[in-house]
Amino acid sequence: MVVEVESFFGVYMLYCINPKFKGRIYIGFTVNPERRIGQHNAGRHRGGAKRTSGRGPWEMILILHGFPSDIAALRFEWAWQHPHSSRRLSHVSRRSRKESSLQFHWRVVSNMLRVAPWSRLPLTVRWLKQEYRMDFEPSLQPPLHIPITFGSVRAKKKLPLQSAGEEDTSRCFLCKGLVKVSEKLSCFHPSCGMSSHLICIARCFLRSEPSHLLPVEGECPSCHRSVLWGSLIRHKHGCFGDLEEITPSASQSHWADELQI
Amino acid sequence: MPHYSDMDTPELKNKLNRFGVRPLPKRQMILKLKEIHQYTHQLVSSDSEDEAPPAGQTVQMKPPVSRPASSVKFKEPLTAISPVKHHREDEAEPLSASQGSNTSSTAASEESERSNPELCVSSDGESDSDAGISCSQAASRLQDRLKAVRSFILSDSQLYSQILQYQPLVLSQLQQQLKAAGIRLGAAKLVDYLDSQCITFTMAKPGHSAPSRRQGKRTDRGTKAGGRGASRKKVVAAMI
Repeated sequence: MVVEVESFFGVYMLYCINPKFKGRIYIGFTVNPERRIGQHNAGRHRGGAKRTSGRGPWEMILILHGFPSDIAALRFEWAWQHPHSSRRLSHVSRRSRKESSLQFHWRVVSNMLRVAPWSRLPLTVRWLKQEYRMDFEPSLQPPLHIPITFGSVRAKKKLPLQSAGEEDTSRCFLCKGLVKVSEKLSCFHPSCGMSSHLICIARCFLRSEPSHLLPVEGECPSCHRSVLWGSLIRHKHGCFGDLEEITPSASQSHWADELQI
Repeated sequence: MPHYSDMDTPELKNKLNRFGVRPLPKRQMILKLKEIHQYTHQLVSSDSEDEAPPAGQTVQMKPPVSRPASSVKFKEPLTAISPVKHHREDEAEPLSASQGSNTSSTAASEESERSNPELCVSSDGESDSDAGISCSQAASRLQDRLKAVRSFILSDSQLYSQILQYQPLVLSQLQQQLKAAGIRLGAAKLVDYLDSQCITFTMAKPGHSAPSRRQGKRTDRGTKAGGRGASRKKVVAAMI
């Protein structure tokens, strides 16, 4: 089953299965992973990177998506490629002799997810090839709101938002004031549909984290379901695929749950 | 003071080893560690250059290991090894920020842009009672400015909405807005703050926005890939 995601910004890891270059890793950015892997394996004259051209075949084994903008994803890509030049990763040690390239890159990304400015982004860690799956070290567990999942993903075109009801103003569930469409945020559960000011909900979600400006997750003030801030924003922007609903106990799915027998 | 008297010999050996002192008879190791602890946790400023003790945990002392046990003294000026460079106008001693809290501050000492807030903060508890300490002053001034930035963001609903929707902020624009509001914060500190809040920003000019990923025809791919790569690198490299 392929998950379809609109407004896709992803940073991926390629693994080389050519025995001559076995184990080589490449990190890249894409808005369309299915197209991108085809480009890599077809060579640089068909859009693949110079570094991977002629060194294939490559497998896209891991992708991190959910970046809210290309800039956010590109910065992440650069830091993953250059951990020793990145200001935020000075604590990440160099690759040891016994560490494979794959293990090293996994260690780097494990560290990155725990550190600002990436630790509050609504990311998803997705293993595209289960046979390469690795667990996070106990000391390098990602933030609880970041799901680890398996299976393919496809970038989907965003449907133009319906303009019907543009003029409608509703009342904020929290402050009861009028809400313009541009500042409105709604719960995406069909049975709920609560609407509020963006800022009112943010303030509500941030009550437990008063020093922060960007919320990560919280309870819908109406239906009380736990939702990710990232999902609310994606829903607002017309992305209806891959909306994460979290329940506090199951926010981290165990990899064994997802295995296909 | 840790209970050195209760520690066993291997533990004491390890602790001394951190200071470069060779293993001694147990009784002497305990005395030496107590002495070291006293030096490193002094609250009163010491006038002697020779024995100026740095505060905080980033100290590494290097007394020669081969000295006879009974007469080991810390004769060399003790320098704190920290990854931070300092721009102090008086360079009488190679002191770190935390050391500054123990010596009288000079009017000439600048607020260093590179001063490590962690070093400064660790000595805050000790130095608050001293008047005019540049390090903790600098730290609290910075905190005030950061609070001002935070209030500014919260008060500007358009800006805050942008942040809440994960839209990247144009750094130059934000700097202008802060300046207009009378908030003086250097770019480096501002960037650190935005990073700590996980707020995405861009160095690009407002017109250009992010490098466009063109979905061009196959024939163009060769040149485009090169062009794309170059512009991507430029944008990202600027964000280091």
